[in-house]
Amino acid sequence: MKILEIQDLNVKFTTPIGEVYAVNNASFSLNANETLALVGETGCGKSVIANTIIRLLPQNAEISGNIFYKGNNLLKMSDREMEKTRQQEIAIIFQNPTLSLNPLYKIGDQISEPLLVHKKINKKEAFTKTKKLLKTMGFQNPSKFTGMYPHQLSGGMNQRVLLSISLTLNPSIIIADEPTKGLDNELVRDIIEEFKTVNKINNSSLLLITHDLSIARELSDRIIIMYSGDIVEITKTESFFKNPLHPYSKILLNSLPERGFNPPKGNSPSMVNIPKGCKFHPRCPHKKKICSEKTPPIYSIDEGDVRCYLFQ
Amino acid sequence: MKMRSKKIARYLIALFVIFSLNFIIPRLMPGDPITNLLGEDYVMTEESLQELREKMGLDESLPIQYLNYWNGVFRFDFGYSYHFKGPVSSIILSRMKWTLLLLIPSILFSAILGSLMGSISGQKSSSNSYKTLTLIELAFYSTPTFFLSLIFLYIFSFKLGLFPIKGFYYSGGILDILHHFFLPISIMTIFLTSRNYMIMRGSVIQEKSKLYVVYAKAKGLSDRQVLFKHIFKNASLPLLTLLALDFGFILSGALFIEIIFSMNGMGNLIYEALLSRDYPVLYGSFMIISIMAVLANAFVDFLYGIIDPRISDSV
Repeated sequence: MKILEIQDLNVKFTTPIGEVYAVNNASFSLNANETLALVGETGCGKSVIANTIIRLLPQNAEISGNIFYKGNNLLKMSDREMEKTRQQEIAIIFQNPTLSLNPLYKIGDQISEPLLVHKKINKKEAFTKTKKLLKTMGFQNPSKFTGMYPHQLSGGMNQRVLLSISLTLNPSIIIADEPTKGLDNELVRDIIEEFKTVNKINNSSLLLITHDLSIARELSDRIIIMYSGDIVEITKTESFFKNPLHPYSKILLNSLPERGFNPPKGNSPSMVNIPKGCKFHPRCPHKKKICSEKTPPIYSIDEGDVRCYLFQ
Repeated sequence: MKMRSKKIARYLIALFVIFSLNFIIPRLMPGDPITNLLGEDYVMTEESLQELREKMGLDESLPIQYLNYWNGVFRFDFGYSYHFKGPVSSIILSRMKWTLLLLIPSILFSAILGSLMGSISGQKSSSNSYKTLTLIELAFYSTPTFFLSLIFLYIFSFKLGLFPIKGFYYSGGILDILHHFFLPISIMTIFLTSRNYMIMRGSVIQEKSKLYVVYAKAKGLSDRQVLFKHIFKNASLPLLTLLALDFGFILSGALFIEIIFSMNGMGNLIYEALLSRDYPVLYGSFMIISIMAVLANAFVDFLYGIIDPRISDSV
């Protein structure tokens, strides 16, 4: 069952150096109980998609297309309705856990805040729930941590606090924007375990945004590869790692340490002067004449969807 | 706990230095202290000069004078004013209450008004009506208080006759006091509000782009909840700092207003003491004002520790 459906999403930013096309004609859907990984290099538009879904993009963003959540178009909702949807239906976890928390408020208050704002329950009940959540997220002594401030906890602990916050209202969708960015390997393992816990206790769908293929492999059911604002491939995670379709996906996989650590040649294109046609063609080993002339459409084949003329 | 005693020690040292300077500076002045005190127009016989020196303890050696000085400080004895004919401490105390009556309400009103208006304006910084408000506040902020006082006196007292121009020599009933105080407090509040408004607006604009604010929105809080539950507390920290740092500035603004409205406060006391070269009163006032400034700093320091846990954890 599709719980979130994105159709022809375009996001454009007007900046002093020119217009930036951050997301172009993106269409995909998220099923109930599914973990969908959105993978790509820095600056390819992954986070922009996340912020578009919960409508927290800056003022200079121009959005077109549709985002249907359980049949309602999120882009057409009133601000009031959107406020009710955030956190209750769709929760998000940002890249930097320590900066996401207000430095002047205690952890306990920040976790119970959504309960007090949306559910109007009393403070005592909210705190009982808060402590229960902290316990499931691996805090052995929750009563001690509710009275602490974000600066007194490590980045990994704050990440778990954010996970607890995202679980307070049992949302249908949790968006995790680079949850492992800047964490060391040990902590990345912990975070992966915690996401597995989240999946177990909460039957919500997870949109996992990451540049780390190993996390995507561990957690996701399906995988979306983005390149410079375009979705280039959507496949099942299992088949992606066996048989990637798009030339970019192949190169990306070869950059993994266990596959020889071969980084892709060249740089990802600037978002202002984008190459004509397929954006990947300057770096593509299989490029044909047509690649530099026209943007390829998405071709649906048995293994998945791919934006490349090789599958014409 | 160790932190707190360190802080208290720091303030005590500051007071000690201020008081010692107050002892040293007059004694560094050229010429005879008695002539300094009484002015050069006074002609006195050598005997009465000597008598006065002994009475004031100026015949003792400097270290003994210094000890006597501290003895006086602890007994709240700042000397005798020949111009006002009374002990300095009681003169200052009787004038102080009027200055505080002007200062405290203005500081409170302006803190509430300025921070509320400033924070809403900061959140809606692109709206034209708030841009206009900022322009008006900027105009008030750039106008010296004495000039504002003169304009207000001209309009409300002289032209409209709503408030008394002067006559604050005696204190009548509460209504009479309020009548006299209305214009000075209004001007002081307007001036301080404009300052608080500008700082708060800038601070909110800086805070609102931070990630925790975006995250608060992502939690489903409305704009107003985001502003007053999250941004406000964080943005008010610079305002608090300035309240302490600028205490002297605030006080001098109040002193000007007092002089223009001929009120019986510290402002006029210092003004008269300056004109009549009444040094004991000047030194006494200087000390009281420095104590008030140090206390204001200590108070803000204490508040800061409560509001921002990162401060009390470090240092």
